[in-house]
Amino acid sequence: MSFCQMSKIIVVTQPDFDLATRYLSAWAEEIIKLAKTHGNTVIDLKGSRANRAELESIIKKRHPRFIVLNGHGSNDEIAGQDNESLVKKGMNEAIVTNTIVYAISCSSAKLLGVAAIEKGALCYLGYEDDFIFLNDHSKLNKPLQDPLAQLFLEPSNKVSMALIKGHTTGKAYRKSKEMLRQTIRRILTSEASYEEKACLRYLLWNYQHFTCIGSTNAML
Amino acid sequence: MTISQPYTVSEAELIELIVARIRTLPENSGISIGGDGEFTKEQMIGHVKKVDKIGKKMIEVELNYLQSLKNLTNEFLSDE
Repeated sequence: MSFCQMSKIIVVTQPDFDLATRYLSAWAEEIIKLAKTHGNTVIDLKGSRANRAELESIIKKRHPRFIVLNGHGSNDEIAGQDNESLVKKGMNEAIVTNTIVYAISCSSAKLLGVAAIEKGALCYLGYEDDFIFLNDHSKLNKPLQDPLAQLFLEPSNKVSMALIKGHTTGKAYRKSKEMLRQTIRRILTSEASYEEKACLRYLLWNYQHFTCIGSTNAML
Repeated sequence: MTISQPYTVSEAELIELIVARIRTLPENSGISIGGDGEFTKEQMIGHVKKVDKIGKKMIEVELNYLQSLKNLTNEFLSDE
């Protein structure tokens, strides 16, 4: 397999066992669609397939360049279906060596991200504290049509979309932060709805805790 | 009235403030806080009043926002 082919493989975990993971997984479909449109091979580990054995096996066999991890997390790990630990500091962080990782989960950039970079990951994008988002209860069965969740998850998706479109990790990080900044700015300065204004405190929180560790020049 | 001394809020006042802020969230909304789960407004208020792990996180988020207010203009409204 040539390096070029290897660089086009993207792994996306999509656990779906609770509301938060169902939302993250639904919004990941947008990334998967774009990735396929751009000629990438996407391996999506949905539901029960979002487990450690499957992830480790896929990485070992297919050598993805980009791994999108949706799920719950903590300072030193990120989880999959039913909160099974997928990547954990001190256990298996070396599996992401030579990859770009985007962890849409809580806090994992704090310790796991640093450890992954020390073990050879190219770049780890994620959050140093809780990733928070609001949802509209009337849209729970249609996450992609939830206007409150969109405020949070659209800027989050921007990272993956920018990478897929050929930008560097640094540029993808800046584009995502800029989109979040513009969202915050719009709410501060325009006729934002009451619901949008209520999101401000959480948008600011995510903005402040989103980070990029490792190379800012890595590309898919 | 002039306040000449630094004002310190008690824990009870702080909880009252945070509860009041959470009450401003839309009725028909929920909040996902990573691995801690999904909460309604009333559930969040309960956690803040108990000052448990979730309540402390809510307090931290709200205080972070209030303390950031003075910088919001420069950070988000500048044309840079």
